[in-house]
Amino acid sequence: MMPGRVSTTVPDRIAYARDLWPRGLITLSGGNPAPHQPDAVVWPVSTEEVQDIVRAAARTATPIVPFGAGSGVCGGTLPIKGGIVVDLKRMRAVVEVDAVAGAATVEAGIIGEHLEHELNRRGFTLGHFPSSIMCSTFGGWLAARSAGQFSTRYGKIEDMVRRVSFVDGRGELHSVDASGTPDITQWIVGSEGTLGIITRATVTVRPSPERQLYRGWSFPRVASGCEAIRRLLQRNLRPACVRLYDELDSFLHRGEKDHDEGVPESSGPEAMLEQYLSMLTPTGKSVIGEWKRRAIALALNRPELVNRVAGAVLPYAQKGCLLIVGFEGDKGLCEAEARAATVELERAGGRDLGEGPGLRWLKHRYAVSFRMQKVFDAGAFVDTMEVATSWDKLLDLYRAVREAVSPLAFIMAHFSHAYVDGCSIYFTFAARGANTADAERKYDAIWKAGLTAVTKAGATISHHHGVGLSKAPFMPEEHGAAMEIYRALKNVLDPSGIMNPGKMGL
Amino acid sequence: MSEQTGDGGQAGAGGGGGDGNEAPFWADRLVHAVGAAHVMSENGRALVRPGAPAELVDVMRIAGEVGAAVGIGLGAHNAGGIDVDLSRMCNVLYLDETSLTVTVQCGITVEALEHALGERSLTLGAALPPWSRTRTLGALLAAPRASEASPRTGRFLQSCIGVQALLPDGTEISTRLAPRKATGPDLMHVVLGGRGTLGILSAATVRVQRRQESRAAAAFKLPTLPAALSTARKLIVVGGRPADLAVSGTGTLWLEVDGPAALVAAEVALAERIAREHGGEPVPQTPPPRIKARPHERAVPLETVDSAVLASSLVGDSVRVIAWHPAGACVVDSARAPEPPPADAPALVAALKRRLDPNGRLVAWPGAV
Repeated sequence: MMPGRVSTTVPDRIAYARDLWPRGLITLSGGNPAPHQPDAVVWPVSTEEVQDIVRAAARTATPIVPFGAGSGVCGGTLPIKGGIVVDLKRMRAVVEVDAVAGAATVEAGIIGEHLEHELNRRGFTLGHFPSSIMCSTFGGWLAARSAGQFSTRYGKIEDMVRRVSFVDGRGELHSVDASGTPDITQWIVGSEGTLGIITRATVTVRPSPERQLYRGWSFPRVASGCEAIRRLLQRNLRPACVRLYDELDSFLHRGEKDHDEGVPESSGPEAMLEQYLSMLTPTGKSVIGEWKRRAIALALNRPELVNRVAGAVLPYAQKGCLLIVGFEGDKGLCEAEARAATVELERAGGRDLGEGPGLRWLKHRYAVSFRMQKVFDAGAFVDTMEVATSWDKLLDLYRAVREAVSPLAFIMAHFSHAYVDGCSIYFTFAARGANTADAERKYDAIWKAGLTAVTKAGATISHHHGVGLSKAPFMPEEHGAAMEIYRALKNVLDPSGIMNPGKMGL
Repeated sequence: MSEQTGDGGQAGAGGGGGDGNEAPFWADRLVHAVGAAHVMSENGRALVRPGAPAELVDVMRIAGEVGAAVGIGLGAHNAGGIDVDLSRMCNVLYLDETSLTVTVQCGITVEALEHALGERSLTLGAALPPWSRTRTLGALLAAPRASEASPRTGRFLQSCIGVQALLPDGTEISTRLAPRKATGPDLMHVVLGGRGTLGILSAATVRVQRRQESRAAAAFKLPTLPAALSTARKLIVVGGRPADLAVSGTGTLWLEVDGPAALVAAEVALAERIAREHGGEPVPQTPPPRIKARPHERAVPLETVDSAVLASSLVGDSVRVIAWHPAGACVVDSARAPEPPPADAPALVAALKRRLDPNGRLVAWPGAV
């Protein structure tokens, strides 16, 4: 079966023992590259081969971990029980683009950026631009309910789905339609490989935008910025993107313009922290040398101090919160929406910063995530916590998470996926441990404090990164008694329990 | 009086039913649970009208203990079982005017809910057809119809962001409210569209809309029906988001838009441009004549909307294509009788039902509700 496309070699097993879960990167920096290795890696090229693999695994009760490009940040693809990693990247065809109906049928293993290029070539866009677009797959997006930077206009990936084909844990192929009752596509999307392997899907695509209009706005506080976004959405406007940075995030983001040409030479939170800390010196000049080292150490080791000073000083020291608003699509609609938005944003107390900040964001929008990696080299760690709730609870959620995490880590946030009824908050936090074990302990404590606050505030523990291994302990609280439905689905579709075992709190 | 069948109550087959005019032996227990005024029993079956979720829980528990099947709105079809009428559970539990959502008990009718929302200048905004207005919210969510969709909100189901429901074993579930989640399968979609066989909806949270600054309607006459269908489809594909959009069997396209004045004008201009590309002309706007009785409905995907409409041999005044949304539309024919409810559940739904409801406690919810 599948000559040349099965491997049990050590290098392959190590290569597939990882994803981008920051906790794994802490462990890696401690010298342990692959605590959980698969027994084998396979690269199927067809749905039939996927079925054969699953049937063989079901017969022998061998775990299966579906794998796209390994960009997940929750440990969702770690083969914690060994078994077979099924890498879908060789199933990467754009099967059909239906220009008349605005739909594309695509195999799961295609890299996001390749899919977008192929659609662009035919005059269309998926409108899905996660910052991982160059290292994540279409199937991975579906499996984890991914969101792109333009989700406010185009929706999250689950909003675009018209049809999903998947192989369940018995090797049976299903093809389910979003117009069905019940809508079974919504059982499979987000199941992170626990119910089956998504092999292809049909999704809504849009004509490539005729026009893009991006601008920056400044709001005095997070609260007034959030209120402005809510009003835009509730007046039937659909910006492609809205991103509101809190005071600290805005400050660091504003630093970007100093590096407008080319790649910034210094990178990672160390540089971010340097910019930030320079604010706190009496002269406002950059802290350097020994002082810089000490200041950064202070931010990572005594985050509560720095967070408190930031809360007290920043609102006065810098120019408020930055909001990026962009419209795109049909020229006439796009221009009309942008005009109407200007009226709304001014009415809400915003100050127009012109196109500059908007275009700058468009240009550098993938950079931040890729730069994070460097922090780990310094023995520190960075992670993100993306949560969501309704508008009425949004600021309470923001304060509750900041309050819970502030004693443990340096924390900032932006609001980047808005809906008529609510919004997500994307927290970034950084801290440092004395050694690997200490870092792991601190890391776990931060997540526990943060997500406990999220659940208590009535919000959801994940807006678009998924659950995987990292948030699995919080699933009973997230779903309550409804977890029984998930277990029933698992029992029906994967009776022998081979599909991505140990994940999602099942 | 037939003997007690214990756990054997299958759909419609009945638990402790009798063959005369007698009340089932367990009717007293229902009276105790919901009060005598809200239980009617005869011919070995009972109609109960619980007034609160706790009473519904009691009814489910009693049904489980005596082996009676539970159905909603089944009437005489549920012989030997308990027919639940949720019309007393019609309260608005929480109106969140900041987030524009309403949490409401599922026995409320669309009409009553729209009335309550109207007092606050709000509406469901889902362009629901007139023949859906007497349905309950529970019916809309559990047994949705193809006509219950609009370009802006999609299928009405997509307006729902959370549910409170009872599983067949009586377990109460309440899904977490958030605009979107990435915490596994969307478990609410087991009960939504489940026709009451996988759980009973007791309350739901749905999005509402505020009345907009301006509103406009426009109509275009296209040379042929295919041209009108292509115009509507193109408008949807390029990202037009009218509040309502319909095509008549004679080739007239009608739309309604609302929002900020600049957007309203641009939406109408976009529709006019596409209509003209297809040889159409603006015509004086008159709302299409109201279809009063429930017509025959058929969901069609956007891909095949033209062939599906043209294939219905009697295209003419009685046919209309409504409920356009990003993935499809609905062909209604007022000259034909309403379609019967689907005979069989999809295989996966049936398999899940066997798991969640091994004794067949919840019986099918017919489309006529």
